[in-house]
Amino acid sequence: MDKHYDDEVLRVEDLTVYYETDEGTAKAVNNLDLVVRKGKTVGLVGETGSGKTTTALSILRLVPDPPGVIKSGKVILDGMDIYSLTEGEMDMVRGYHASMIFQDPMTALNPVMTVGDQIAETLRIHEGLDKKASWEKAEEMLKVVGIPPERAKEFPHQFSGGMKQRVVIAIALACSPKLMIADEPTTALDVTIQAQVLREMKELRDKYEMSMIMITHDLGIIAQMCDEVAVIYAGRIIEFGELREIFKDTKHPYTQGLFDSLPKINDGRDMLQPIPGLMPDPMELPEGCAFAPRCKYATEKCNQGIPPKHYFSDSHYVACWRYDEPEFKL
Amino acid sequence: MSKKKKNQAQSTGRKNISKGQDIRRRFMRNRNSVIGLVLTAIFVFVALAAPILVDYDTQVIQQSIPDRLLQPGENPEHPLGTDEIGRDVMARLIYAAKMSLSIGAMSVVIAIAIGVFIGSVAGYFGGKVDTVLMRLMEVLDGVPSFLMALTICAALGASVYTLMIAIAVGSIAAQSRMVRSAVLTVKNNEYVEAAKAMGATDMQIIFYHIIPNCVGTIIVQFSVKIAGGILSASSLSFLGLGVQPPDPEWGAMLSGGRTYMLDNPTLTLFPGLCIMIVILALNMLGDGLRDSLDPRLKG
Amino acid sequence: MSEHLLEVNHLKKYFKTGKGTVQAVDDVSFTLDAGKTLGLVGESGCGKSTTGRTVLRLLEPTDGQVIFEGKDIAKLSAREMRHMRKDMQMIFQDPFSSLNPRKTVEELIAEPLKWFKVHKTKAETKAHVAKLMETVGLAPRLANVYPHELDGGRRQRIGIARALALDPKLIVCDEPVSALDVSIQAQVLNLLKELQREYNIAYIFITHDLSVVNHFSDDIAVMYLGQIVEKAPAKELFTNPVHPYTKALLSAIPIPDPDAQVEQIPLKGEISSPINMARDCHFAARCPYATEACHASTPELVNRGNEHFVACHLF
Repeated sequence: MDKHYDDEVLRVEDLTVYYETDEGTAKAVNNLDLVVRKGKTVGLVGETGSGKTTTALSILRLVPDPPGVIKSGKVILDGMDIYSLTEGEMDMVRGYHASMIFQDPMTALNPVMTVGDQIAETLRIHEGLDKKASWEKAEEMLKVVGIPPERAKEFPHQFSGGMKQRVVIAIALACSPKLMIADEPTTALDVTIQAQVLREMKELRDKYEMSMIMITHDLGIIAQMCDEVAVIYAGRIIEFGELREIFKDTKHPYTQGLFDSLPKINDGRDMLQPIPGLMPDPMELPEGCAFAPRCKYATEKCNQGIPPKHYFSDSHYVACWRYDEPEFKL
Repeated sequence: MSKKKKNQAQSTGRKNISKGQDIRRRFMRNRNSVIGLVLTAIFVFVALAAPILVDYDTQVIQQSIPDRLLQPGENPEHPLGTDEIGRDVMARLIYAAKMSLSIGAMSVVIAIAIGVFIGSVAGYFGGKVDTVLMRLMEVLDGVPSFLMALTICAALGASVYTLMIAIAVGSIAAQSRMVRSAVLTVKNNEYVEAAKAMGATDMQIIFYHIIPNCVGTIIVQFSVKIAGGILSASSLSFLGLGVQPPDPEWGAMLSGGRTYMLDNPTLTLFPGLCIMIVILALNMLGDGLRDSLDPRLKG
Repeated sequence: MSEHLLEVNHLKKYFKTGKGTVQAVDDVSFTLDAGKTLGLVGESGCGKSTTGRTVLRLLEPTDGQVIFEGKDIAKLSAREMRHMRKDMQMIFQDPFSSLNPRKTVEELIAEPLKWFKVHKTKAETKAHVAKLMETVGLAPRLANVYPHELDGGRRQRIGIARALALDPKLIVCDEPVSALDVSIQAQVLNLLKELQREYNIAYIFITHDLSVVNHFSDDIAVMYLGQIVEKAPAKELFTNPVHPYTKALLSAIPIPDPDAQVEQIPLKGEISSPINMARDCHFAARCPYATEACHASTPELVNRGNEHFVACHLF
């Protein structure tokens, strides 16, 4: 369990989510703890299938059921215990207290509704605005994300990819939620457009003092956007810390491996140092540390049990057995 | 969506079996497809063995007015009863299996073979080739298929073979269109471009990549259209084209029995049942085949 | 004239559509030597993939020459072209859709061998496939597995193995790692690099990811709306970018270092569509430094020394 703070917006405790299918049980998220404080952005980094999206979906109770089953855990969002709410109450939470931006803006927008109507609809539901007021606010929101308000009457297909993602952001922001969860919001965009959208998101986040969970596989985006970083592997946070702690004082061999895998923009053309092997099948997780089979530091002990958290500072912890040895260093 | 990669081969230790064994294994695992296979096999066996099982002259076409319209079970010599001129229903059903099955199957085989060729060429090459072929198919479709069949039968002379061709011609256009649309979806896959980049010729691409990936559509078409073929054959036979009396044929028996529906419902019931079971069996077999040929759908 | 493996001169590829002519590739020239790598970089819609496909004549060029080992392949007959394909292969971006789902790994890798009837017997083909699988690091037990059962990295290895099967001299790699996770991406990049060293293969490496090309290429060409706007040796391009678009592109990459101070060059708007383009600098509409001259004519690609070519009116 993570330390308590006075200004926490989100607290996730001991979250475990399985996908139960005919072929077996995929352990997507395992005993995950996470705290997001007011105005802070937490980056969730991990590879495909590491459970980062499932974690985000669990926070808003959007995990598809079946096959998804929330086995254990508690999510406190803005003081509310999410898992004790009714479905109706949950509808009010989504979009109002916390909203989510998905990777693919095209599937997140309704193709037969104008973008203005889509923003206005959110406002009518959550803020109880009438038709005229919600439309005006919708136009205002478009202006906020850098789209000329005249375009409110257009349909999603008339917008380019970057513009569509801005519309999605406008919808997510419409009710000024306390927490915004962004799931790979710029992966589908070109770099120059990505830079524009990220800049926009950063400004809006600061303006509205929002907390944010930024899900991405791109360590560059993390470095630009986040205050704290959670590195997730096989459904567990294996290293957590403030941005500089993760980047400058990397502790977990996996985090180290991620950095080494990146082609560096400014240096030589040597061979990269990839992490050997693959992430384990979530249906057949190893008994001990899930990273042990790929880890060059692994010892016998690593295969025997889930490693406990090792704290280096108030904020920085790592889940690795080797730090039981006082002299261990990467 | 965070996805759980299922069935990752690195975690499964299996796989030292060939592709054919794999397909067979998947087919046998599906109960419906096995039932379909068994039923189809029985019908095919009966059809092939018909000349041995029943004697044409003394059983199939032997009339006997005193014994006409016997109910099933009334006379042990005619377990399924007799028709309006006293012929044994069971013998006729057995003999008709040969006619009906071969007409149904052959007409569909001809139609699909031509349809696959036209449809895949039109779909794969696109452009002018596509336009010309598809307009031709529309012309073919413009002529009412029954009229077309009549014309063909009249021109080539009435026989079982003409009947097959006549029925086939009527469904070529529909088959071509079906295959063409399947080809269009397959064609846009990158592996088709990859094959071209690797040096495959157009024909090699069509036969190695395109058609195998359309096989699901083709098999389903096959099992559905056989029913249509059997029924068309019966209407044409009814008009005196195709199967000639006194040769038996399920469709003809069905329509012949209609007159006696109230008193002797079994006269229509038995051939109807035969058609129904054959179609059901073929559908089950077809579905099973389609699923077992697609490696992505494995259980 | 020195003998290059590949020489592309004034290559054009236009598509006619209902809305007008799409100038997907508009007068592109470059050369590539044996065993070297040219990185083609640009954002979606810049024509980099079309260039790669036109070079292989998977698309017919509208105009221009593609000279491979002294022969203009645009002029070859279908039969000669097919023969030529042995020497020029391609690796595709999407390891899902570029592999036929109904074929096993073994069949997939054997495909090019089959088309060119390289081996007389099945056993020889099998042995060759086994060797290729070993080369790209696929375990022999995967021979009878279907691609959907494999992860992206392994699938991409199948794509690499079949591209290698005929000992090509040139491989066009179209975003070969962009569908893969970072740790897997590094594995595949290393493999490609080792293969280049071992077999002296030339690569055209198409990507939108500048950090990947830098790691990989000898020369880099930056494309924008169908044209090369800057071309230079990799090191030169990264240390001394000249074209405003290259600069913007470089500055837009998020650097995985919290201390990195990058001055971002904000670009206005988005890439326009390459339909019926005017004879101007195509980048002018988004360029923060554009002058009147930029809207008046298309700048030429000029050598500024050190093999550094730039197409910009400002220089």
